[in-house]
Amino acid sequence: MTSKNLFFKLMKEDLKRRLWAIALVSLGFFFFYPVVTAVLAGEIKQYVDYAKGLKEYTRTVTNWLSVECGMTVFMMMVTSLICGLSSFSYLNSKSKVDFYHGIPVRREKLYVANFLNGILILAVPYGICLSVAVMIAISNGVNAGGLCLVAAMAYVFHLTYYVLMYTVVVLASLMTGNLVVGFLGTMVLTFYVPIATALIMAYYEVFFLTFYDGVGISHPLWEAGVNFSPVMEYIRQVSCYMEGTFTLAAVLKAWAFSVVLTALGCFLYKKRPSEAAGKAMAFSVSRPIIRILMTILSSIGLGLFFWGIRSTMGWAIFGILCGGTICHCVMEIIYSFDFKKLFSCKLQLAGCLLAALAILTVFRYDLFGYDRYLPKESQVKEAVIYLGRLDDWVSYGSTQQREAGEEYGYYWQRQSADEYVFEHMHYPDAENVISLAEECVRQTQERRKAVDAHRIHRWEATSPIFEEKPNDYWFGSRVNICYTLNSGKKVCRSYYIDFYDRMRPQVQRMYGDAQFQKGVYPLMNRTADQVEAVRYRGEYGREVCLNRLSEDEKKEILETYQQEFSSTTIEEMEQEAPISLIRFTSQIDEKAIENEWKNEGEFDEVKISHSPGYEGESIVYEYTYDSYSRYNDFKSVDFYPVYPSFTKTLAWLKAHGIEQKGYLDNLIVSGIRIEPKEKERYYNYYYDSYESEEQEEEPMQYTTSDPGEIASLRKILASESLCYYDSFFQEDEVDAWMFMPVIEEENEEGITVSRDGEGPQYWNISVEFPKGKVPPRVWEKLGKQ
Amino acid sequence: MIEAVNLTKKFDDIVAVDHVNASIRDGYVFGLIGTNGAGKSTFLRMAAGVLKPNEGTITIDGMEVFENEQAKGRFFYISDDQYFFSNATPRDMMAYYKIVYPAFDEDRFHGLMKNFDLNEKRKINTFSKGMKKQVSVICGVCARTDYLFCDETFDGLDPVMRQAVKSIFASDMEQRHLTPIIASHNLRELEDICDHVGLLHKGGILLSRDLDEMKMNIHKVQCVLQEGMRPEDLIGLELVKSENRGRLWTLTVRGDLAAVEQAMQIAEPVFYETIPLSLEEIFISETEVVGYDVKKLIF
Repeated sequence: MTSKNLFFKLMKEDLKRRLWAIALVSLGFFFFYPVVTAVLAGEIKQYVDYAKGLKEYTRTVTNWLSVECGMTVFMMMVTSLICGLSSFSYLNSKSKVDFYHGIPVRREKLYVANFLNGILILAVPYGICLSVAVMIAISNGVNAGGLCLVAAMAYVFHLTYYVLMYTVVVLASLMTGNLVVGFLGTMVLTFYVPIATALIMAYYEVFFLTFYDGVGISHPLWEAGVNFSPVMEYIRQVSCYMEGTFTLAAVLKAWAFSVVLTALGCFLYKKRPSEAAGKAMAFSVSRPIIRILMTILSSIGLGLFFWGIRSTMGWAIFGILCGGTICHCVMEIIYSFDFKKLFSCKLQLAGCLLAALAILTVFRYDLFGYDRYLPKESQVKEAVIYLGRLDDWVSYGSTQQREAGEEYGYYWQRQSADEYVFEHMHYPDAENVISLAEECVRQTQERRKAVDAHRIHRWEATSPIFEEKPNDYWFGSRVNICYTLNSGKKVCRSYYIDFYDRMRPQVQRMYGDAQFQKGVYPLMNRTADQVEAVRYRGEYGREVCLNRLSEDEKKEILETYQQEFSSTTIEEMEQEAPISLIRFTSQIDEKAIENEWKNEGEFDEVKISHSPGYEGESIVYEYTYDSYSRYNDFKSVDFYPVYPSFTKTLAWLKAHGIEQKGYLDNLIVSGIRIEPKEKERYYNYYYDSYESEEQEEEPMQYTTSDPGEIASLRKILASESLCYYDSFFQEDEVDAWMFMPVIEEENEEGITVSRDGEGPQYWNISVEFPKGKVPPRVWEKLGKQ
Repeated sequence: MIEAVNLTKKFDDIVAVDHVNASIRDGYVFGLIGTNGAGKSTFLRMAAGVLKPNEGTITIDGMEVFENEQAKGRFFYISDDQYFFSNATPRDMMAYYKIVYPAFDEDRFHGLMKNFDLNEKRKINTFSKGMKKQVSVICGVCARTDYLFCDETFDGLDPVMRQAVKSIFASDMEQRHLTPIIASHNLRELEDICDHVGLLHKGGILLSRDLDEMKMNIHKVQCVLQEGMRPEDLIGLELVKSENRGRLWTLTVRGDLAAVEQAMQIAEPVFYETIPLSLEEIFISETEVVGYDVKKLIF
């Protein structure tokens, strides 16, 4: 009982000593929460519509008091530093140590009392100010239940990571004997591992041609590095919370770490010699460890910096020697506060420099064969293969409602292709994977020779053809392979290769595999119960929505399309161009589009009609779109191509009132321009008076406005925006555009072509000739012999 | 009883206290003397449980001091640079000490503060060095611990205050068997208060004796001997040292006072008188015996 009383009395006395910290934190939170909440409440009056004002206020205050408030995160970081360093600052003074360690109180009791006070100094003012802010918000009409829940979650969340960061600062404080060094120690404990991880990853990135840096998904090495930094982990979890991937396990993990670190802190406090007060480092054993770690890090850091500038081993070694020596000397000055001690540990310095040189050598000459890695076929359980640039048209992600409410609309939450593929692919054909990887490795070794021969960066030599055309910058395709070995270990490599020529058999085999398709195309994983409607783009600028389908109908069309799409071969895709696009929307997709239609007026015209042969209603949207899968527009994403060979799909659509004609048939075409690809020019302007172009200036160009010739060419031409949805479509060596007059108004004569001073105005779209389909007469006009 | 056995403390390569053996009896004033850097403060900091010995032990009635609440509750440690909370008043310090020393005598604290003419409500950081020392000592005696460790506590006290503090010590020793352990580099400060002294030098203890024993056993004799007689001719005297100015000899002799006087009477000198040695002189003599020039050690 006495002991318990003593403990609380010690806490109380310690708090008296730290009134400044309490006042500082309280003042900060007072202005930060109650004052801001009250100030924001004043904005409601600025709205004419009180309900809208209240809604806006609710949204702002909820964000402000929630987990995702960046300023709170900043406050927590600063407060953890202040409280952590002040909790045990007395250990840095001999007279204070004599005082505290001379009284009849066990050290662990002192430690726990001071440690807990460091948490209370934040927890109590934060809790009170947050509660007052919540009450202010509620008194201004904000829904009590929702806000209380948000604030409570934020309180627990922020307090969790505050404790974690605070514990690390305390550890740094205990390991050092000086406030400034304690601060530096905090920086080391907090950021050393992430910086070292980033540096090692940079070495992989710079020196290895096949390093997979986890585009779209975080690299495991980086993820591991973040685990060692409370600040980085805190930021990561805030991001997770905002993305909706936050879990309770993360909070529990943080508390578990905090408890372990607190226990470690108690152990260190007991072991910490009182004579360490005023010294740089409290424990002599930690001096060389920290020095060596810092010296090696600085060496390889500066080595990489100089390699980045000149790309020669000489400069890299210079960087290593400079970085290591400077860091070693600075550490010695900090340790000893004496310039004469700069080189008192020469052997350690030499060892660190040698270690850094060894690291550089291993990476520079790939001594462990990182780029040559090829597992045995029998070792591979399954693999993930991402073929870059092949399926760029596929949309990955989902429609999301904005958190503030439906009236604030929806957005397309994009997911990177890598991320999706790595989550969903389980390609089991080890033989094919190894065969593909062998070719990748072979090409990579050729690239390495080019890199070495020309002393260039890896990204300047992406292809074997570099040697043949040294002035060319060839951008190859990326192939990411991630093997899951039988042991469960995952090994990833990323290759820049020219796979069309040499890897066609492997790619063909891959695209014929159901598991591969499921990994690449989200539609192949979709089931009928996830489908709300079918949207179809069979004519330029016109989209039809079938949103009254029965469950059986949904199942029938989805499975029909999936079956036809999955059985399409590469050869078919090369020869055929898509004739239309189809999309299987979910409920939230439909809500989002409907919301856009009603509130934003995004569509030029919306008709609700009854199609012949289809009992339900179909909504026809007419609006300007370019058919490309715009990655952030939920109206244009997630479309899949329909080929002429998809007879069952087309038949089903016909049965439901949608008859497929030519995609570009509804366009009034006034002219067609054709140019060889070598003379590629881009027409980025919507309006373009093509006739004003002087043909003499562009001899390699053919433009026709002859109706007969236009009609014959239109039978061959395919829409470029549809061809975009065909990874393997082979176009001929020309670029072509159709020109259409801008229709301004109709008069008694029918169509009026608008004129702007000198001539008519036109808009154009890009079109493609399938390979070999450019008529000979056109080639003649283009001057081809 | 406080007992140090082979007590050793090293700071990196420096041996601050080197295998010290010492016993401090209860109810007596123990003086710990030595030059700067001799290891006095380190010894006291180990005795106070602030520092952990590298080797050996220091115990209070058989209890290890380091991290032992019970043992640490037996003493109050006043360091050479006693810490007071920033902006604290003597009353604030009393409040803190009351928490950690349950027997703290608050009434006596108020009384002593009044007697020493110190304002309890004034911030300590506005006090002079001597006044701060007084506050430390008042807190120390009011804590009512069995031992009081004073590191250079008398340094900075004026003679009046020194006497006042000594009288408080004497009173507490009489009333409740307080055992003050006083470390100082100034022998004159300890002379009239210490019962037992330990001389530390370079981390080791040169000697540890009862002051009375030393005083009783060594004497200074000023005499004028008969014509032609030299101090070496005096029979029955254990002569430690002799100096002369003309015919006036100053002799330092070891032995019982009565025996010394008897020997002198037998020699029938022209004149003689015995004079008590100062602590300083005793130390000079004693340490010279063991081969040290104490003037170099202490003064």
